[in-house]
Amino acid sequence: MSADLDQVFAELRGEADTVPLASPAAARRRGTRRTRSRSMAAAALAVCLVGGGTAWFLRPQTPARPAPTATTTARALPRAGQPVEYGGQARAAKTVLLGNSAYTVWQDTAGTVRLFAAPLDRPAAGPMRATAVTGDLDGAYTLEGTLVAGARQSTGYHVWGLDPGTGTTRWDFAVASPADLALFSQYAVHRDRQSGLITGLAVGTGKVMWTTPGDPGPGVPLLPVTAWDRQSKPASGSIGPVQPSPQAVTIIGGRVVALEPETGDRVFDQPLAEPLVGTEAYAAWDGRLFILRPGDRYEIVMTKLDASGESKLVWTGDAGRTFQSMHGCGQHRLCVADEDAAGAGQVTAVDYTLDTAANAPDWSAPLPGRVTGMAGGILVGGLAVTTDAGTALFRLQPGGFVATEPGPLASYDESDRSVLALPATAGGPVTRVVFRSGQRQLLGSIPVPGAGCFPAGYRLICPGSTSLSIFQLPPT
Amino acid sequence: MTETRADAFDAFYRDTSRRLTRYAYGLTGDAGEAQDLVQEAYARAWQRWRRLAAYDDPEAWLRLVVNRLSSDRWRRIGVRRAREAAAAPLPPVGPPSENTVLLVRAMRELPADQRRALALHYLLDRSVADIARELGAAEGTVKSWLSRGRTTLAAALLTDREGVRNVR
Repeated sequence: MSADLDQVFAELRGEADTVPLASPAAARRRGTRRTRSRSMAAAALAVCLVGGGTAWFLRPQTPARPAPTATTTARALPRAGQPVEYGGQARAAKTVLLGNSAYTVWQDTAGTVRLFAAPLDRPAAGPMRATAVTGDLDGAYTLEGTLVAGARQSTGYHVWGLDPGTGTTRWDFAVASPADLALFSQYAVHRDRQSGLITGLAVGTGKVMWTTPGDPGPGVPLLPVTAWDRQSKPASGSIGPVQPSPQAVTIIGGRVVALEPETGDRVFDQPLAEPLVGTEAYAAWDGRLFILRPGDRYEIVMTKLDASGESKLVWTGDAGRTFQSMHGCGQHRLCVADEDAAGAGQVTAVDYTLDTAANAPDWSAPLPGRVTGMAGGILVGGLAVTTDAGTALFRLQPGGFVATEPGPLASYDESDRSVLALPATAGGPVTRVVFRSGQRQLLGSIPVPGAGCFPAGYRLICPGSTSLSIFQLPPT
Repeated sequence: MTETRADAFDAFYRDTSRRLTRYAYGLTGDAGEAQDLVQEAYARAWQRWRRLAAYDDPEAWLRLVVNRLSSDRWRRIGVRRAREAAAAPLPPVGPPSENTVLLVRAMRELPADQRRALALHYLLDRSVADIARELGAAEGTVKSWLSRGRTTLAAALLTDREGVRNVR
């Protein structure tokens, strides 16, 4: 046998690339635990040194504690058919619904991405189809009969439109970052950072509908303007949510520009009140663009994307507080999460229709930990703020804290405004949480992690690491 | 869609974790240990993410952490204990191939600078200039490390597999 160093190293690289890795969230949790352990050790040492004095630091009020977890002896949710095996270990799997079938795209440990369909009423794997998807599988949707899949690559992010029946590629394009992509029910709008060119594409056919010049470079994200009263498809991985709304908004040449996704027409075009400094954050909501301007006291400026073009300051953070995230939350409300120097998080709902001089929040509440994000698009009538101590749920009114959930959430029933709280890392209980009453109803337990699970009617669909499981949810 | 601190960290993790795993695997030759070291490195990165995110090359900082952890047996044991105590087990991984075992064993006998230079060159496709920048050495020095490292590895592998394998 003959081998040279290149070959031996190549063999080692190949083996290394099959090593399964935990999720980035797991690394964050571990990092957070380390910080806490060290803080606790330091606190314990301090207590000893002062001769038994009590040093007991309380996090700001409730909701500091996670909601009581339902007992793990809950009755198992019945399965709808046997698990549908992938035929291998998946390092990522996404399931989407189209018609009466669940389409699962999954990536094996060697990086190959495959696709299969399973009928919802009698789950069984249809033919396994190869796809052209490469990179790290990240998100998936079905839009206009096309399975849209996104993957992170070393050079950026790539999006494919696949034929769900055959797995063949209908269209594809690359962007530098998911921030350069806005998905709508029928169109994908994306921006090329090298040329600045913005393109609108029909997701059903792949037909390029229009192009228009934009700013080259990292620039400002392309944002779909979300609507407070219309449900969107939740974010999948780092793409989405998918909006039925009629506008994508960005900034081109120092002007706030709203584009119509079908035609590329500029339905709003107005100069910015102040030039950007490059460290802003953005949110588009309820026909408005919100721009965060960092500073000793951060500011949030709103521009109304209509004929009035009204632009005004709607919120100024308290001194010493650091902005973390913002998201629309109900009619005429923007929710802003920030934290103090010690990392104590807080969420504030701002009524942006009020006179800014008041700078008075509609309501404000402490958070159980450091803010890591806000859920968009999964909740109607509620707000979910993810922190390193769990996800805090609020109904949209003063004193509206509902619960802190340790695991992932999924939207459940819009009519009664409830969500499903799912098990975090391994199997565990599935609990329905009603925003209005705060009522928690244990529905049963599942033997798989809840990440990636989503309800569809009376089914709970869970793409796991080796198989697709479908469970039956009890009537509520 | 607002990109939060966690979003930025997660994107960084997704973009870099596969490369870091290669590097860790190259230094340890053990998939389970590489998993642990990579997770520990990212956990530490998350603790100081605000500062790290502003670095020109935060990935190089991660490699430094992996270097330190991999070269200290007691730290490695600590890392594994910490993970076993606090996290769900990762999926099991198969044993390394015979070639990998031999290569990693030979790598461990090399001086640290040579080992790091070889790992950066062969596992991460870094140029001599990049390696020189990361290790704070002159390009000529890096070329010398690579040359000497290759020679030593080839000899070691030949010895290990004498009569069975010829290594150029």
